Amino acid sequence: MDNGFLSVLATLLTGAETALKVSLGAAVIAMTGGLPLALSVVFTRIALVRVVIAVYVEWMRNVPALAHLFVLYFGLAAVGIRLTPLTAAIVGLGMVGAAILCDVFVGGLRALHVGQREAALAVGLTPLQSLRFVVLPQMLRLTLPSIGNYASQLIKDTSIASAIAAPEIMFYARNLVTSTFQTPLIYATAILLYASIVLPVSWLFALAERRLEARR
Amino acid sequence: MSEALLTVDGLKKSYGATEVLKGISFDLKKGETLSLIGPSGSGKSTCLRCLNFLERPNEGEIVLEGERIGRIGNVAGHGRFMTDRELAPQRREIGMVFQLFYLWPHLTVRDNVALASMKADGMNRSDAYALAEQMLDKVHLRHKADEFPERLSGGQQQRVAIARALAQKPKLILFDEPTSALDPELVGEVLGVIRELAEEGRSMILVTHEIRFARDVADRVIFMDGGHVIEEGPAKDVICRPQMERTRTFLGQVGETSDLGI
Amino acid sequence: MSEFLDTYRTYLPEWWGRLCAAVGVTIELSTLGFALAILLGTALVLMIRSRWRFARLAANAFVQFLRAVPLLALLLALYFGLPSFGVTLSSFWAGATGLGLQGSAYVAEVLRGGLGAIHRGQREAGLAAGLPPHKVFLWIVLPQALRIMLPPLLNCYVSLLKDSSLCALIATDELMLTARAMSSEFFLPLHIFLLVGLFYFAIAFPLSMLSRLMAQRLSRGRRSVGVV
Repeated sequence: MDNGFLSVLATLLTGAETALKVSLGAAVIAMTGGLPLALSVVFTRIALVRVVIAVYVEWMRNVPALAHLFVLYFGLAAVGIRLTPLTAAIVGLGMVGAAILCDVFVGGLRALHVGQREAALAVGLTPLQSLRFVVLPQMLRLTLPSIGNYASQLIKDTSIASAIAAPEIMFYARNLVTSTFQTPLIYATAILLYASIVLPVSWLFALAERRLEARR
Repeated sequence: MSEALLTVDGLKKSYGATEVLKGISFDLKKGETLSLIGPSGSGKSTCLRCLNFLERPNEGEIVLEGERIGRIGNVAGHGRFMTDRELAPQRREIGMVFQLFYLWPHLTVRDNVALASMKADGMNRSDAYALAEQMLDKVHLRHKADEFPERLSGGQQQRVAIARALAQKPKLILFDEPTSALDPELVGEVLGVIRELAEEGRSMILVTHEIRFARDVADRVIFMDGGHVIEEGPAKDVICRPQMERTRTFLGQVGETSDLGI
Repeated sequence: MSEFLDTYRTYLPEWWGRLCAAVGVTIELSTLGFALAILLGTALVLMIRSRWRFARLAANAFVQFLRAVPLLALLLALYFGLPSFGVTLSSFWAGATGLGLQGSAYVAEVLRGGLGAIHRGQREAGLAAGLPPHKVFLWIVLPQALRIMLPPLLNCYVSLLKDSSLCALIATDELMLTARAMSSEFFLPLHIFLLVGLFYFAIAFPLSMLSRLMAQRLSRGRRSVGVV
């Protein structure tokens, strides 16, 4: 039994590498996409910009991630754009993440008192400087819990990529099941593996939150 | 002379290592208005909240018209504490008005006053509403019966809270700093209602910082400090001619002594 | 582009019926999962708020664990793993159970937050008026808490609706599975998956908007002058 567990774990760990790659890639897209989107929504005076972004965000958030991945992997392939499973997973989860973080950041920006930015401008800082030194640091503290939530969710969502044959944990798990029939052991190991990644991540964020609170 | 409605004997209360009440004893006669005054932290609110067992005293006996409050059994000093469910009938007899009103925001003013009559006493809706409107009349707010609390001023909300307590037809009404959370111009309307109740001959215990009001409206005053009763007596005596040094210091800090009549 | 739309015009009549039938299953699945989530979530909250340390620890650990595990892993474990222990769930029930388990962790958090948001003074005023504790809960605490909890609970339902798509991977005959089947039948994955996305959107979006509206109206009504 012990031997079985270790070999199962070894196989699944190969998948963990992919899961982390997907998480990191999607997270980067989500952050670098979500923040500009949020800033646009809050600071633009052009209504059309807000509408377009709203449509994007609502579409991404109200349609299941699996559907987005299928569109990117199977759908685009049918019109000649062939993405690898890994790419499709990163882009798909990244785009959904950008939508989620856009909402999070918009909420954070709106919760910050308008006076904060006005005071910064009054003191002579440029809008960009006010953003960098006054608004964004505070917003980061405010939204950290939500970002932590998103991070945990993202790591779990990488499991969906197994459906488009990305070689991550669940993909290996399902293959193992068909070849060795040690079903409970395999899925239990997979579950433990995810828990052992997600729990430390959420604890880290909780720690960071407490640290930031203490500094106030 | 009327005998004691309420007897408090040897009340002690500690929170962890901090002893807040160090042995409080006093009586309240029927129809009497008693005021508890003293600096913050003296234990006056804690004492009040022990009377209807919102706080559980560590030691001491509270007897209301011969009935032992909060404990099972007949032997003083012994007997287990009652649960909240067991306490409910006793609490029905004691009305309480809180500093922060605690009106229930999801109910109209009328429902706020009538709820307990319906759910605790099993009164039917029309009787409960009739009683509620009567009580709202007493506090001059009958016309607001269909409003929700958030649309009322602080003074109006507190008067509704008083009506809610009156609807219990209680033997005794407790006031926990009823005007401390009010804007100054709203204090008068609430004190006016309390004065009317006192003149009616209700039995009341009033914890307040309004020393002038206590002097004019209360029958007796107890000055508390550091968990002890320092001085007690007729209102005008304690406030205008305080015997104890600590009482004098407190009254000097709180009011213009000439204004208080010292 | 018009060629793209033409495809829809050709096939939509054929696809519409199948997809609508599948939507019914998706809604059944999500609603059942949501009901289970509410039941289990309520039980968890009672344990978390109970006096017994063991109950609190067990419930907290359970919730923490559930929140650290992907739904897909739960579904696969329930559907493929349980039979080894003698318990065979149909894919529908495995799906509903998985959704229920996931949802329960979220529901427990929402219930805990909502009940905790009601100020102590509200309860004290109820007790002081002579109401027994269970009536204080029923008539004073719960009505106020429900208003706070309704929007996030609605969001939970929308989440489960989207997550039900994963049940396709354990062969539950819902919308996404139908989409996959149709996509290989007609060789039109792009059209079909986009259309299916639209189906999900049509259900999820109104509910999300409703939740957002409720939350806005709630925060407006809280002028709280002394109704702390």
